[in-house]
Amino acid sequence: MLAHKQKKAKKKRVWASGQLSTDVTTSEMGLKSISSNPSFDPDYIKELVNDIRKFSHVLIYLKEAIFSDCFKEVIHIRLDELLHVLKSVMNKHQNLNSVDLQNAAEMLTAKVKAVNFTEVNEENKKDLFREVFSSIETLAFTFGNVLTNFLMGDVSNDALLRLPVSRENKSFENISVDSVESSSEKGNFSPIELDNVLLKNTDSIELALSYAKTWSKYTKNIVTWVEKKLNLELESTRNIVKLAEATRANIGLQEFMPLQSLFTSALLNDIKNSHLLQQTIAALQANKFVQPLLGRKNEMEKQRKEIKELWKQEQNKMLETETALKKAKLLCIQRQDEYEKAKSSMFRAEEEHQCSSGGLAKNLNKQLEKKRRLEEEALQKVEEANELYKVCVTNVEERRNDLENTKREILTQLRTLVFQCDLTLKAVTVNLFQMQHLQAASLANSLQSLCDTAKLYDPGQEYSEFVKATNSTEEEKVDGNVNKPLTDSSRTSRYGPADSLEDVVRLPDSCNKIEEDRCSNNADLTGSSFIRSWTCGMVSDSESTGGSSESRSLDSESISPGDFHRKLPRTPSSGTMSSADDLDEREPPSPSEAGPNSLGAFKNTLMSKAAVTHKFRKLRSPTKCRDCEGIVVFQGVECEECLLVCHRKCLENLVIICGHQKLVGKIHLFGAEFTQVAKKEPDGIPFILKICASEIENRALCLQGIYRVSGNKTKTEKLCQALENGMHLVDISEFNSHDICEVLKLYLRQLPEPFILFRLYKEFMDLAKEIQHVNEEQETKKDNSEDKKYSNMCIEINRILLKSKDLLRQLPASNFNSLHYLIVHLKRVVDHAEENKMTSKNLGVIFGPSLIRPRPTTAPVTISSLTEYANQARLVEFLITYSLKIFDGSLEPQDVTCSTGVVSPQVDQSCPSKPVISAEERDSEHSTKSLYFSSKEDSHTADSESENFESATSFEESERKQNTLEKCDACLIDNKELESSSQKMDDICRTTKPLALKFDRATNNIQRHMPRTKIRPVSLPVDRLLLASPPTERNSRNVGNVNSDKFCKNPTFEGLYRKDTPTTVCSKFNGFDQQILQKTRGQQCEQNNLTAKTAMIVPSALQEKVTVNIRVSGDHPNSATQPNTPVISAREVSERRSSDSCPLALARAPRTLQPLHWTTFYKPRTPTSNVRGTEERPASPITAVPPSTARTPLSHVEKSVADSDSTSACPLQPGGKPKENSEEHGLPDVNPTCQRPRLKRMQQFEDLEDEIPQFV
Amino acid sequence: VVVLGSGGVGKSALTVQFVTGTFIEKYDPTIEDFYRKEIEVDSSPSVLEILDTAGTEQFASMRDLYIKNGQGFILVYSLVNQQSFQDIKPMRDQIIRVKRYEKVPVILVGNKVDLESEREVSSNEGRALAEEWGCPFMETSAKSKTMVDELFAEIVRQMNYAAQPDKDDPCCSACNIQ
Repeated sequence: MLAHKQKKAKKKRVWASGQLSTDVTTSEMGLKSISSNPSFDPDYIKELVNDIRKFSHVLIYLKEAIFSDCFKEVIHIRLDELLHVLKSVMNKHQNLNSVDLQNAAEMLTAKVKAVNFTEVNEENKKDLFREVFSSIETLAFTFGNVLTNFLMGDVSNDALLRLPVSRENKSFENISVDSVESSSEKGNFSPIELDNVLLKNTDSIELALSYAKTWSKYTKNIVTWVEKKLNLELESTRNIVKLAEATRANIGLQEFMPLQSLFTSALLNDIKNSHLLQQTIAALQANKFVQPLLGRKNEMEKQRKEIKELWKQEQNKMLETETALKKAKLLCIQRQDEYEKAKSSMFRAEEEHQCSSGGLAKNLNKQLEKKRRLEEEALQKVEEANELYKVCVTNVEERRNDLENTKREILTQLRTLVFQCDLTLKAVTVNLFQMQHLQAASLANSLQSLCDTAKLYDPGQEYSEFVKATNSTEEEKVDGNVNKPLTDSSRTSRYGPADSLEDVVRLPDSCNKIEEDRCSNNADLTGSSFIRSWTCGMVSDSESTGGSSESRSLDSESISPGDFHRKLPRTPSSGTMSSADDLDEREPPSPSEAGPNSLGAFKNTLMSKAAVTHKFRKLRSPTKCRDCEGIVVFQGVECEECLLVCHRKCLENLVIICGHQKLVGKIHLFGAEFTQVAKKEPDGIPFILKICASEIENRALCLQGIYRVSGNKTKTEKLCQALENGMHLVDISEFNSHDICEVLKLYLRQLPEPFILFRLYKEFMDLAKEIQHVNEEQETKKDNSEDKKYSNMCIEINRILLKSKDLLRQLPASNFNSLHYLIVHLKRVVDHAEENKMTSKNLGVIFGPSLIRPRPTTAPVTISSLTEYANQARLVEFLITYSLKIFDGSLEPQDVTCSTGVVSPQVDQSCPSKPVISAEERDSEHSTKSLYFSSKEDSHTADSESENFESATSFEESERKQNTLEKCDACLIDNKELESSSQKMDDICRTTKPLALKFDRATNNIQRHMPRTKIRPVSLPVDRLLLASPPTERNSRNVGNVNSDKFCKNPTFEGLYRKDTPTTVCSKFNGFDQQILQKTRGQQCEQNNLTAKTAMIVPSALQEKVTVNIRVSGDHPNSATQPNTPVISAREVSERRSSDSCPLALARAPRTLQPLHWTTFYKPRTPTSNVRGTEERPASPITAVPPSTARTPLSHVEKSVADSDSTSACPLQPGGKPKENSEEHGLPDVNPTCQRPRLKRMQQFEDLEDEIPQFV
Repeated sequence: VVVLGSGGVGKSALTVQFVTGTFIEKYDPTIEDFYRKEIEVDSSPSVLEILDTAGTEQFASMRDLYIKNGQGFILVYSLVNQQSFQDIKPMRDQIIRVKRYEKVPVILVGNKVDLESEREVSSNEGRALAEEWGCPFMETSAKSKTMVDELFAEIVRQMNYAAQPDKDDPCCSACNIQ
């Protein structure tokens, strides 16, 4: 039995995949194994096999015919052949006779007929025949299904579907011949005979007409009945839906009620069915039944009346002729009489003439003459009358013939009419009942499943659940991950249908264990309890296996004991870190056991996009549905590849796509300890954060009120559930953007401890207050635009920046990474603030309390917490606004040093202690990390290690000595070194693609030794994107994509490539060049103008400003922005001027606050630092210039875009812009031609993740 | 008066429209704003203190506090957003729960009536819900100032009715707009 099922599964797949060359051996083997079944006669099987083979051959012929030559005739002949064979097969094997098959055949016929063969040529051939092919495949597939079902003896469903053979045959004939006449064959007479028979009858026309009349009356009755019935059904359906929805809403609220999920699904079924029914009814009312029939009836009436008229006219004419004939006859007789009279009178006159003598003779002669003339006249008249009569007779004859002909014609007409009407009637009747049948069949199926599920319920189960739940709410908060599943498995073991001795013996045991476990698990979740709960889960798992096998045997499903045993050893092996629940879920069906099912049944169920990716088969043992979390019993399906189990009805909503490997168990996600989740991710960023953020960036960045507008509660819940169930495989694209946002917000909100830890809350709040203070100052100072105050502001903000960096550095790596990721994402949202109206302030308000909140206390919320909310919001706003500075700076310790160095004395004086602390901290962190990576380090690592240390130490030193110059030196050197290495890397990447992998390693290593490497994988590309304004953002994505395309076999490379080179560069830009650039620029507008003019001859220029420009381009290995930057800078300069003269002008820009910060921040520096910055430069330009000039043409291409971008998107960031531009340009330069759809971003992220494990 | 409702439905816009007579174009989520305005309802002057609250779920924890301190409540939903209408229901339940009696002065408001073409919640739905709650129902537009003054006049009337008319200052001590 098992073997044959397998064979069938194979075969079915063969069918399904459209390879119609049915593996004969396979099927034969399969059939042989069946032959052991007494109900099958071997001879019959052989015959069946032959027939099937014939059928498959014919199918192949048809396909070949379409492929090779597109002659209409050939294809039609093949089609006829196919239909013929199919028909004969179906006639021969009544079991194969099914509606599905017939429908598929009909579909194919229709599709083939629909093809316009005159248009066919080589090019459009594929398009034209695509539908035909698909229908051929459907036919093959259906046939396979029907066959499989038949062979399996699984005909219970199909018995319903099978139609009475007679009907089938008839309608089948229609398919093949498809003409009106054919249907007449069902009568005893051929049409002609029929007519002849009628012709013999005198009042045949009347008979036929009266039949037609009765037909229309009859049809009218039928239509009225159907209409009324449909209306009634419609009404009741609506009521049912209403009722079901109301009930559903009500019972949804009550938890732990027995059979709740069952009833919910029943109600859902109700609703679904009702909707289906409504559709069916609508269809029937419209084009499926009522309308065609009524139309036909009306037409018939009309024609019938016309014919009647015609017939009447003909008959009248006939009557007229006949009367004319009668008249002529009378006239004829009359004339005859007259003639006779005249004749006799003439005789008499002759006699008199002879008798009388001569005297009178003359007189008599005259009389005689007269009489004779009279007689002749009479004779003439008689002849005329006779003529007339003859004419009349011929007329009548003709008329009669005519009448006969007309009668024949009318009869033919009437017959055709009746046939047509019958045809319509038949078609609509078939429609009617077929649709009703389908409806009923699906209903029956679902009812059956409900019934089965209900049988499985054990009284008291939910009650105990309820009690447990109330007891363990406290626990579940802490270790719900372990406990919940535990309860599940224990439930199955305790109350499962297992009555076998074994189970009974084991039961108390496991119960005790579970209880024990729960006690031990109570508050803290240690590793040991993890293991224990897991082992415990295994025990109960094996028990539930017993239970399920029992229920399976109840299902009259013959399962060999061997099969059962085979499963047991498998169970423990499937355990990873997963919970018992997970095991329970996976335990079921080994592939061999759950034999192939009627895939045809799935065809009818609606499937979501994600559901289509699975290869489903019938599930035979009860487990939990992955979609609705209810128990699946009979109407379940299971994916062959990932072992996902779900209800057949849930396929509609399934959002977990097939991962083609075993699906991991449910993960506790929402409200779970962050560290637990972060542990699973190599970079410590929860996957949910990434998936939501990337999805939103893909499609909803411009949606108004993104993150503000709340999502649909039920949808959100569903998505949450799906994410917990199938994390990485959730097809999130089917959800609304607001729902996704809601999920992300919910996740953050439900974190037991926010990203910014409780212990740092106070510090951050202090910071927020400072920010507030600064902001207020700024407000007041906005009016008077004295440079001094601006510089003060800059210092203030820089100080806060530093402080925030220090604070953030105290966060655990995973928290920091996640926060960074989120903030960068939010920054990207803010970049679209014009469209989505979400400024950083707005997002700050929304995310404030989720990211940073005080340790929850039992004390009631007071109004004072409002100010805290404001501060939280302010802090997050600050983080978002300055995300570039904050996170880039902390990414690269060198940069940090650099920037601090530049910020210089004032900062140190104002808060001397903190930087020192941070430096130390960083150092220690660094050392631990380097220890961690030490095993993997190579020469590269060593180099950069020393670099890092150098920078760190230099920083410390400078702190101590307050010697900014030295610091600057150190960092410049660092930068240079790094820069050159990254440049090298970059070049290598571009030039030696085959070697990419090796260099991956190299880049890898380099990354590793940098203290904050962990952050980078995600942050870097993000940073880059962030800097870029929308169009360029896409460009930079393009770069990534191209890389991935080129090195598609090497996803790591892409990630690294994108991360490494740009990052080092951009962080440098931010930390160092930006500021210097700023300074110089702020210093002298004149010079700036000059630079703009001299831009094209940059290399030769010796002015300060020019060097800065070179520096910028040189810093970025790829950037060829030289010609570019000056242009922009010129523009900036002008802008700058205006802002200098009237700072308020800045405020009118859409994003008022941030830009203001920027400007103030980058306001004039002290001239000394300026000089210092430039002093060091001469060396770098020399190295940098060659590559940049070489690539200048490319940058030209991008120039215009970038120009407009930079000016429009960030018009108020004079300082940040040039750098950004150079970056923006530099990246596209790598591959300026490529265009890439946004959608691929997702892939990028995935690539990133793939690559991440290598670091850790 | 406390103005409640889910995010982005126009609570602040309504309030500001009422208080200052202007429509604010900005789309900033509120944490909490407090307004005070003197109005004359049915020829009796009263000072209306309006608390404009945060709609975002993130601040849901504050809602209890608002409700505790509020005397009258304006429940706002956006009639171009079905979800905001759904969100309203639990808020009303929360009011009843916190206040511990049914007869809290409440007005159900469908805002953004100027966006008739994008309407997702029909008048009838709103009216039916208001009937169920036994409270007045209005459809307003902060943008075109439709029914805004009427709304606040009505809530004052409601509160006067609930808080016994013998009080000198019948206005609610805190009117929150969420």
